[in-house]
Amino acid sequence: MKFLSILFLMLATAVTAQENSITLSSTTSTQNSGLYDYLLPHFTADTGITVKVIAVGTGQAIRIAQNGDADALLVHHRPSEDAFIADGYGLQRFDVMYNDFILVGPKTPTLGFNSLGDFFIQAQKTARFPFISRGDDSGTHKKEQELWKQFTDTPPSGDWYREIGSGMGAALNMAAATDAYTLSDRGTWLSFGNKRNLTIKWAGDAELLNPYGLILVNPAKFPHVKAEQARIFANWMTSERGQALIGAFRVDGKQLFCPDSEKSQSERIAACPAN
Amino acid sequence: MIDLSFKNMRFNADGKTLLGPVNLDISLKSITCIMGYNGAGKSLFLELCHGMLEPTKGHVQWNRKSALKTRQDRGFIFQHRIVLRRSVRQNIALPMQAAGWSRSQIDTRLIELLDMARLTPKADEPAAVLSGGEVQRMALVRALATRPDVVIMDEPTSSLDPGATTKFENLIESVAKTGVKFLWATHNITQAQRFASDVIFINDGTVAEHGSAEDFFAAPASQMAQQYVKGH
Amino acid sequence: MHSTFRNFTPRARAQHSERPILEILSTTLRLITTGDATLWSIVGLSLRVSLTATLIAAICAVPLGTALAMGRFWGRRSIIALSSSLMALPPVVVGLAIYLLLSRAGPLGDLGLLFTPSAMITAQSVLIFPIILALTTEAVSPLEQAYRPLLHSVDASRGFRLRTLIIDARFAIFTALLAGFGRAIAEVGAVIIVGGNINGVTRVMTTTIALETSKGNLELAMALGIILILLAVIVNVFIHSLKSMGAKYQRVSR
Repeated sequence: MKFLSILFLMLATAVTAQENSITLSSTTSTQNSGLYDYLLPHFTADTGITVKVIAVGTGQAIRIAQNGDADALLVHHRPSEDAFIADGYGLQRFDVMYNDFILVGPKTPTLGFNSLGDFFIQAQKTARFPFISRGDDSGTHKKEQELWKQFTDTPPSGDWYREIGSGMGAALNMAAATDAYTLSDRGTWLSFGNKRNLTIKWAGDAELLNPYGLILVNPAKFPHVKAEQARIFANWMTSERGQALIGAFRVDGKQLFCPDSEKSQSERIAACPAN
Repeated sequence: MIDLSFKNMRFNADGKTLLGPVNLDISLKSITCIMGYNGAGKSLFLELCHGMLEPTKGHVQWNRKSALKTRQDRGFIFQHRIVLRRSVRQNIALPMQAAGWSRSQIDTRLIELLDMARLTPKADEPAAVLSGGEVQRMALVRALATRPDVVIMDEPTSSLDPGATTKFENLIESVAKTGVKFLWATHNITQAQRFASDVIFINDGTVAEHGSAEDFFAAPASQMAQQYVKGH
Repeated sequence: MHSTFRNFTPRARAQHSERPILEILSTTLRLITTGDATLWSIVGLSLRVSLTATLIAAICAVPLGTALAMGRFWGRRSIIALSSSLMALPPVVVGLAIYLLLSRAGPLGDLGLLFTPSAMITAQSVLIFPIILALTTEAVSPLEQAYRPLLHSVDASRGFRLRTLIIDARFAIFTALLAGFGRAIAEVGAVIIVGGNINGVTRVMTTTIALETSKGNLELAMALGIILILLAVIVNVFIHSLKSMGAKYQRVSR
């Protein structure tokens, strides 16, 4: 046992050399879009600070930050972000960017509906058209659940409602294979290569807005946190330069994220080009 | 003087007394042969002599020191060949390494041991390729490695052909001449008659008789021994 | 579409080839021959993490496994029970346990080891320790049985017996180490939790494969999988050639 702890200490000292970096806890969808690989080298070039991104599901990302294992948190679920600050884990929140969710479904057969809310009502009423739910407490999943709650009286259940507990890519694959409906973030949809019979069925409503928030982990609660460098990061992300870079990010020629600087909701949607 | 004594020794297993009670006080002269029918307890006796087993009751002592604590003062040869997955040289070196001899001490002693056993040409061969006779010669010099006063052997020639047996016996004879004492279990009566200076006869889990070989073979005391000597 | 490898923008799905196997093989070849720096750093990290973990686990498990083969001592039963239960744990659970230990919210948080290769090495060492332990005991037991009377007759100390057994059973023990290494280099559950799959820092072969799969870059993921297998084969061949070099004395007679 003594031997083991000596070994452990050797490993530890090999690693705790001070380096100029921060740890950012964020989500897989943001990472998978390619935004970080494009954006962060610019930040490092400008400031000399490296950003180490941990990309996991939204729930896990928040938990990591709650444990003090990250210096900053970037997720896209406002209620969770607000709770994070209210509970003392976060020092300050910044609006960074937004994109939107879209409802995708089969070209045929189609479920008839005339508004976003009507879709949820009809889907539950007819109970014939399959709907794929992420079921993994991600930002997308939480938004989906909020929409059901907002427009219907009872939670969805039945054979037609399939909770898979998987990522967005897997959900879209299943929707394509079974001619099902699902809620997707636009970023994943754009780069998704297996669309088959799927198409965008509804988009543009204010409820479908998907804003991203960057939160500084509270140094009062976690003294070891690199508060100064995290703040530099937040300032950079919300600066003219950072915002311009975010807006300039393209995938297959399409813009993925709209830079955000405290605009009102309707302004937000109008300003960012629809894809 | 090499004195072996058993004081009220009993060895039990599974509730039965396998060997004992044994009370014995002897001074080894040269070659003492341990004889008896199979299953009488010869191997058990030898292992107790060497301190490989702890008596259930009583003591086994060599020159008043417990056999259990003095194993490195003696050599032991097993009935079934036990050979390390190493070269002949490394096999012979084992007791010296276990006793903490230095590298150079071991190397020096190895030269004479290999020569004694006539195994010098095969020193670096795997011990596994040796013939039966060569293995037993190797086992013998291995047992002699740390210069013990006593070597205990459990039927070392029972699986050897006559030629190998003769070579082995010659080696024993020459070593015995240098003053090393032997406790030699054998069921080969002619072999015992040729080499033994003393005999211990084990029967039915006890030491039935012991004494000079001359006396034993001329006139065994018990009926069992008489039948045994006649070859029945 | 985006991938970890700058030189490797996978074709958009609409252009999928008719023959996925061909595409996989050609991607594999291209990855290997174009000397993509990202690929080799990922390969290097995978080897470094798993080889180090195997070494650490071996240092702990081989003597202990040999001691277990040698017989009774205080705590023997508990060690065997604990080790068997550890073997039943899936890698993700082991990773989670190490995460909880190394997290800032956990007891060893101040070491600052989370999300580093050291954390990954730790998790994998714990993961493969029981395998190496069990296989070492199995390898050594028959030898221990055979050697026991001889070693007992020369009054060999416990340490001497341990060393003798490990040395003479080294080939079978090497096989145990290979098994441990195989499990380490192939697992993803533990390293992804304690390492965080950080680009350029804690990204290894298996986590890259998982990542590319989740992004739908299936052919690239498969190509990486083939490279991983090739890696494992190379390590195996290397160890086996070492083995045959010293195998002269391992022949068993009779």
